[in-house]
Amino acid sequence: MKIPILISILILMTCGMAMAAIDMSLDRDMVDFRTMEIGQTSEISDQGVYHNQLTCSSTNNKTWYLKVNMVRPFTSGAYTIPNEYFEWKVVDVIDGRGIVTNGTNVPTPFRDNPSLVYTSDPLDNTGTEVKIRFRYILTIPKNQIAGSYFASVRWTMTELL
Amino acid sequence: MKRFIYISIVILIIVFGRYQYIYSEQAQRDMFASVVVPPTFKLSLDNANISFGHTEPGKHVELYPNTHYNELKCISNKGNPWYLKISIIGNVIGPPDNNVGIDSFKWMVSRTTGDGVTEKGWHEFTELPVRVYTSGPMDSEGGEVTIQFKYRLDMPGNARAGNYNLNVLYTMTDTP
Repeated sequence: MKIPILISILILMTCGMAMAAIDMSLDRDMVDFRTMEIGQTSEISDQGVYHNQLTCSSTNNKTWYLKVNMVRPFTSGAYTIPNEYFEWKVVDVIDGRGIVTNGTNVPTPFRDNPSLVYTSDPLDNTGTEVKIRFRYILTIPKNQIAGSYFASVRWTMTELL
Repeated sequence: MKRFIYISIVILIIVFGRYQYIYSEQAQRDMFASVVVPPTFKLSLDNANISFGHTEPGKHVELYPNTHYNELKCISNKGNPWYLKISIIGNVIGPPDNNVGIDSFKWMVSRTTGDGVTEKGWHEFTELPVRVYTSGPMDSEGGEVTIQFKYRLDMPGNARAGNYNLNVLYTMTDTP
């Protein structure tokens, strides 16, 4: 009697895994600004008009939200580049009918707390792959110590606003 | 026994379904960014021509006594102390046996924008570089530090008539 129960549990777990309704992928997870002088501003788009693309899909038939936050600011040893000098902008949305929070081509500084990037339309919630394309802008402050700086950014697709 | 099994299965479905609900409502991806900020260490001078014009023997001439004559802008983002030094290359070029030495020419820092230490007062020019300014903690973080100079000539009374020239060298260095 125990074996059928265990098999049932395994089937339930497998079905549950297969029913994952939200999915997000990132085609390029590195933004390398290479070498920049103090006071210089650089906008990066290594794939032509955009740098990378997030592909979001949901079959939950519920509104979803794309958010972004800095996990770690640009840091080199004890020195950091303030977040306001690092900006993202949506340059295009493919197959999506939702709302880009600040509109397209509007640079927005990264923040420590999650900022809303995109709100899905009901048509986005039925399995459509919504592709959101980004470019990134960095300015090196005039009073920035020399060094190799690294930052970490997190994208979150969530049904919670 | 059967009832216990059914109840267990229902509980599992509820618990696992709840877990799946929480799991599936959020997805995250991380992205990494990098940049290299190279060391900057530079010096610029707004006016490289110091002219005292016509000066009578035994006279003292100070250029622009109420302000400064020229200014240097120093930028470093290396995070280490730096020093500004001043010296004369060679000697005074003028008529033979002219009695005008480089110690007849003097400099003074009238103002700086940095948080470092300035050598105060008038100083004679020398062939060996002497320290003018020692940077402070904020001066080596990439900001521009302006150092303004005044110049004075104490022409000896026995100076011979003629044109006199000398070359001033400003050096920004991280060597004390």
